[in-house]
Amino acid sequence: MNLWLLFLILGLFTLAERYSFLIFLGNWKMPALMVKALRYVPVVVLFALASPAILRTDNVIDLSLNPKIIAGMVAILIAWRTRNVLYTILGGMTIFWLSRWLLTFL
Amino acid sequence: MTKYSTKQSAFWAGVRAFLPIILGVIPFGLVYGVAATDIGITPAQGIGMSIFMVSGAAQIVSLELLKNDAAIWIIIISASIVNLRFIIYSASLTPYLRPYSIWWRLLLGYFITDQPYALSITYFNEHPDAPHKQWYHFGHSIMLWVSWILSSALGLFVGAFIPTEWGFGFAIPLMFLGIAVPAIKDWTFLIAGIVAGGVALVTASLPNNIGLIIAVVCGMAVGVLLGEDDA
Repeated sequence: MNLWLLFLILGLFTLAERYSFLIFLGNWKMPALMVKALRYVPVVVLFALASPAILRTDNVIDLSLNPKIIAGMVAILIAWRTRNVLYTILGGMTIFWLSRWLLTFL
Repeated sequence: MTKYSTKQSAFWAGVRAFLPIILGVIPFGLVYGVAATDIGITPAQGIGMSIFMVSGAAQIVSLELLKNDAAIWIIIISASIVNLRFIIYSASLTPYLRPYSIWWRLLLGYFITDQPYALSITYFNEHPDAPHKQWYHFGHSIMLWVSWILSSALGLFVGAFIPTEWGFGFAIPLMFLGIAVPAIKDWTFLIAGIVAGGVALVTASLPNNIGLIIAVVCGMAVGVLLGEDDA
């Protein structure tokens, strides 16, 4: 299949998901239960994306004290105290590189 | 967070809110660019994919499947599964964006992704009565769009020369934490997040990223069970 055509189709499916409520179902009144559930979506989705990326190494769960876990814990601490995304990324990456470098001496 | 009362101030507040997040977008764009060049996608095709999809995770998953000669319908379903969360984002933003014209909604809907959603919903929840919400959403979204297209292009042109051992890709989960942790409003959010993270971890090996959807459903169910009914 032509790659351009495939990418276009993928884009249209993605757009349909983005437009689902905003364009197509806009006037549909959501049940209270759904509204309540939706409040949890940002936290839930982001943790579901972050967790395997931090707690898995080479496609296997790895809960040892490795650079990713050390940096992840520090990042959570920074995010909690500063509520700032930039500080979280900079602090986390610094700890990630630093601990990876330090662990080479063990 | 302040409430912005003019179009210009709302737009620029959106732009400013996105500035720190650019640092998280760039490595993602580079990772995508490298993945695309690896399987022989031209820079033009790669940039085209970024413009059509504006969705790093789904783009990277699609490329992985393309590399493995997966069937077209598998690729389409997988990308849609990875992006199922956009339906939830769309529903969640609709109460706030419904008042605006169809043209605004067509434009703003195209930009719905993780970071713009997180920024908008945080602002809208804090200021349900704020005017010019569409300009705030447009401000950070156009920043995401430009930085995503430019970093994809950068990745497609020079990504192959950046050693993956440097581990820049780790900035992506750190960015997710940086957005998620401040969004924890009370202990029910914390438990829901931990459950989602735990389920995502143990289901990560399941095919087609279905584990992500399972994790999200579990996390939301826990939130609904524990959370207060009002508000």
